[in-house]
This record gives sequence, structure tokens and C-alpha cells, in this order.
Amino acid sequence: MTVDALVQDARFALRSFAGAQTFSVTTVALLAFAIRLALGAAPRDVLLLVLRRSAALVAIGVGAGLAVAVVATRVLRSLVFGVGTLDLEAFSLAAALLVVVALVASYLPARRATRISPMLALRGD
Amino acid sequence: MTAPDPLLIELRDVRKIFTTDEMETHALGGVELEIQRGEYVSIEGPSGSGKTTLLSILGLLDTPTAGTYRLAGELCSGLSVRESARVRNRQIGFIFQTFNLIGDLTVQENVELPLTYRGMPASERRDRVVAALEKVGMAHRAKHLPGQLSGGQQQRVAVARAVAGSPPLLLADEPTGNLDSHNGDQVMALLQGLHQGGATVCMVTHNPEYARHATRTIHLFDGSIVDETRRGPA
Ligand SMILES: Nc1ncnc2c1ncn2[C@@H]1O[C@H](COP(=O)(O)OP(=O)(O)OP(=O)(O)O)[C@@H](O)[C@H]1O
Ligand SMILES: [Mg+2]
Repeated sequence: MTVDALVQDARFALRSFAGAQTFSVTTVALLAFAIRLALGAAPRDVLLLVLRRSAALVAIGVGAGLAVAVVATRVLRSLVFGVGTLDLEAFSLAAALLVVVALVASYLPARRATRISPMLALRGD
Repeated sequence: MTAPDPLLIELRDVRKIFTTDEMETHALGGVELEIQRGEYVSIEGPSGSGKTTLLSILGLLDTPTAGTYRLAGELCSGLSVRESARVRNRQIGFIFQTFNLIGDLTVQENVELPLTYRGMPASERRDRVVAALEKVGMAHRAKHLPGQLSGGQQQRVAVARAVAGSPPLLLADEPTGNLDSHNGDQVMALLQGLHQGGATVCMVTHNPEYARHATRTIHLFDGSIVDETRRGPA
């Protein structure tokens, strides 16, 4: 995997959050996989691509969530007596769990993406 | 290094039958075809005569129901999915009617895509992308997204993507079908230049004007080659 690929994944994830594209299996997404396969991507390349992109989505989501949690804890502590300090352990556990769940959840669609026919690129239907 | 075998493509009795709910379509019926390196072949025939089917088999996008296909001496019948992906990646450059650039990748990244599937080092990839984009006059648009380009520009980028890895065979299915005549002429001039530079080109076209660029025209009818026209070198 290259740095370029990571940059592309991150950009894809950021655009997904911005609503410019959705991660659902749209016709456009199917066609893009078919094009990659036609250009010589092996099924494994497509599998890794989908998993990487899901991971990028989750990583950015978790990062944003952690940042919010840190700020919220501070604010709460200044307002309410008795709120503890940042519970790093609980946060990390929750984040790790999210990543695992997301990867498991994206595995099946990823497998499906590897079985798209590259013929789709030629016939477009 | 020995010179490569001049015979690039060899189809023997290739048949393709599509089966859909009790309906059988014989899209190709026993095609025999040899293409030498350096030829420029155009394929024509009425709608439904099997042109796209033939191109899909030449491009290893689909497999024949029967018959054998040899590309650059390698028997392509019975290759695994992964092996045919490797052959497509190294031996074939595709140019599609609908351009088929990937919308969320820049021009540069699109052209680089087939090279990344080869595990080519980044520096070599970059050099090849620049050279390919310069060849089609699109280097100044390297950072643009496909959606920011005209159809003609997108197809020129698609040509750059097809040639970036210098595959011996270029396949094009109605490459000018979605272009006006000015942009169509430009893309055809690119293909002609690539052929003059030594590429083997195999193109489906409905435009008789463009078919004349080819050194040989194959006429398909009902899944069979019914006629061939050869022209001297232009
Ligand atoms: N996936 C498929 N399932 C069933 N029949 C198919 C399939 N693909 C192609 N065919 C049939 O095979 C025949 C040849 O189709 P093909 O697309 O190769 O024709 P073509 O010469 O490219 O036509 P056109 O000029 O319209 O593009 C047609 O009768 C078509 O309906
Ligand atoms: Mg067709």
C-alpha cells in the first residue's frame, strides 16, 4: 500500500462525511470497481480497497468523536461537581470496538465488490 | 533478448453463447482470427452482430464458451480470475465509449491506476503518468477531477491511461461514440499516432471514415466474420 492510496482513502472518507458521496453501493461505485477490475485489479486489490475505505471512514469518525468527548468532559467538569477525569481506557475500548464492528460489517460488501464482472465497464449495464 | 513473436492474437473456433431464462443467444459462432503485432484492425457490423462480445473476449473481460484464445503466445483459456487480471493489466489497454474515468480520482491518479496494480515503483509511475499525459496533451490538467473536463478531454485522459503501461494491445469499443466530430477526430488522430508508434490497435467503430485509418477491417455479421478488407500502409 502506498502513501498515495492512503491519501485517496482519507479524501474519500472526508468527502463522504461532507455528503459529496455516500458509501452505499451505487451504480457509480459498482462501475468504479468494474473499471478497476478491467484495468487489472485482482479481486484481492478490490477487497482491500473497500476495507481500507471503511477503515478510513471509521478512523475519521472515531477521531472526531474522541475530540468531542475530550471537550465535553472538560466542560462538564467545570459545571458539575463529581465528573471524573477523562476515562481514556473506556474511550479507547469503545473506539477499538467500533473499528472492529465496522470492518466486520464491511467485509461482506467488500467480498461482493470483488465478484463484480469487469464486463460492466464495457457494457455499462 | 529475442524478438517477440509477430503473431499477437490467435482465436481458434471461438464461440460465445449467452444463456438467459431458456433463451440462448449465439453471440459468436466459431470465430477464427489472427492479428499480427503492429496491425490496426477495425471491427464493424450491424448492431447485435457480436462486436462488443468479440472485443470483450480479446480483452479477457469475458471468457468464450468454446474455442481457444492465445495472446502473445500465452493460452488465455482457463486462466483464473487473478491470472486474467494480470494479463489485462500488462498486455491490454482499454478505451471505452463512455471514457470510464473514476470520478473521485484526479486525472493523474486515473492514469496511474493500472500501474499501481503492477506494483511499479512510485518514481517510475510518476514518470510514466507525466509522459502519457503529455502524449495526449493533457499534462496541464493533471490535478483536475474528470468531472471538470469536457468529454473529449476525458477520452484523451482515458487514452493516456490505456498507454501509460505500454501494453502491446489497445482495445477500443466505439471510442468516439460519445464525442462530437471535432473531439472524435482528435481521439482518432491519437490512436493513429499510437499505431504509427508501433502499437497494435483493435477498434470497433461505426464511422466508415475512421475505419479507413485501419490497416484491416473485419466485418461481423450474426457472430461470424463474413468479410475482411485490407489496406496498404497509409
Ligand atoms: N449478457 C448478455 N446476455 C444475453 N445476451 C447478450 C449479452 N450480451 C450480449 N448479448 C447478445 O449477444 C449479441 C451480440 O451482442 P454485442 O453487444 O456483442 O453486439 P454489438 O455488435 O456490439 O452491437 P452494438 O453495435 O449494438 O453495440 C446480441 O444479440 C446481444 O443481445
Ligand atoms: Mg457493442
